[in-house]
Amino acid sequence: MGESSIYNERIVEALEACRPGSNDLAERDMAPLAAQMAADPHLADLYERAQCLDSRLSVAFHDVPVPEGLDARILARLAMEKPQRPVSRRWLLAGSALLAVAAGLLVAVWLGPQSGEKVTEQYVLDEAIRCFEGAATESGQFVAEKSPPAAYPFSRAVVNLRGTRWRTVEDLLGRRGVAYDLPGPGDTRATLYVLSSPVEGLDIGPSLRPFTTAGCSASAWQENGRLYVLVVQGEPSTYQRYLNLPSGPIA
Amino acid sequence: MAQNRTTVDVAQLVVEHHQAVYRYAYRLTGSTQDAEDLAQKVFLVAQRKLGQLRRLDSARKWLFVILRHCFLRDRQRRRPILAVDLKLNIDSIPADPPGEKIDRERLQRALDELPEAFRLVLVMFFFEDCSYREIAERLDVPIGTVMSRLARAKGHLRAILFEAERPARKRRPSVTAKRG
Repeated sequence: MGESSIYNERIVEALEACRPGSNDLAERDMAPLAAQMAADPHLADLYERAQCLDSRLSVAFHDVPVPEGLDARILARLAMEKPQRPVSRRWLLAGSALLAVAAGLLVAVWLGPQSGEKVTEQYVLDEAIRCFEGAATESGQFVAEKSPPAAYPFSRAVVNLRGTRWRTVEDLLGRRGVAYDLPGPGDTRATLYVLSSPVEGLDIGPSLRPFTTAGCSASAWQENGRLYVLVVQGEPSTYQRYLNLPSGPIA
Repeated sequence: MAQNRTTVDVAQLVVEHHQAVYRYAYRLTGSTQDAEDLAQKVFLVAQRKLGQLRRLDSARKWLFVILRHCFLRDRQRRRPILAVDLKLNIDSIPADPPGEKIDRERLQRALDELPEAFRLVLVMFFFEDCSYREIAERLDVPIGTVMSRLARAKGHLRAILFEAERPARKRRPSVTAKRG
């Protein structure tokens, strides 16, 4: 039987996060790992083996041959950069003011509802998960009692459950939007974020195989010119229960 | 006069740190050409922002911060990457430490197969000796995310390094966590 199946996911992740020759094990996040190691010699042995291997890997990471003459080429490239001419303070202030106005206009254009931003799907998911982890999901209003803003409609790809609440989100990816907090079985938390402008390169519907990390499953997609991100606390199977699939949504 | 001093200081940084910067860049990009381009970019930015460097003894860390920003900014211009299938895999920790030197090329192949977000935490952990907490702070992501990526990336690395020779994979599997 493999060792992965014996230990809890959090214990394995903690073991993998300890650097060789460090005091990481004394960190408060590592207390469960330290306690379990004290009671389980097999886990303590596994930790020692991982530490030993990691110190070998650290050495290997630095084992990269450097091309001949690299320093000379870098210095030559730096020398090609012309030195800046000194600019008077008055011109600098005038230039700064103009730049600020131009930047303001540019931001206004970028934040327009039709613009597609050059951010990655990974970045969108990271930001949404971070927002999800820090959110108070009981603070919204029930959809049945008060309608959410029409500019941020619920997705057709997600199961519209009774008991769903909505709240405004002030700063997700630098934009405002609406978060729909979905009820789930037991303590399961799930939130659908709706933002006004899409992100280039995203699919047109939620993925059946979501990105998973830190105990969350999430996917991002675009729909009718809007960006949607569904974040569910739990495994992909839990996440899939929130999708509007013919095979049967959440009970 | 100040100009000369700046030039000398940048040159000094190049002489002292170009090897470390190149090695870090190579582990992230997996290509000698991309690594050299990235290293050049790092020192160009360093030259422009030299006034931000407060202490010479923290120059290497400062250059690594510039390097990460350059790397991430470059990647963000490309299409979103597909997630890959990475699982916890402590079974791949060998019972005895490997006798021979770890294969440099095989290590890079394993790194190249990882999504950038996973590769970055791994290189920060092994190359920069950053703790999980430092990685979370510097990348501005939750600690749980760092631990999760680190564990899965390390499992993948060991699987490539210590399992029997196999043909190079073309497929990028998707990220699924195996829960204990």
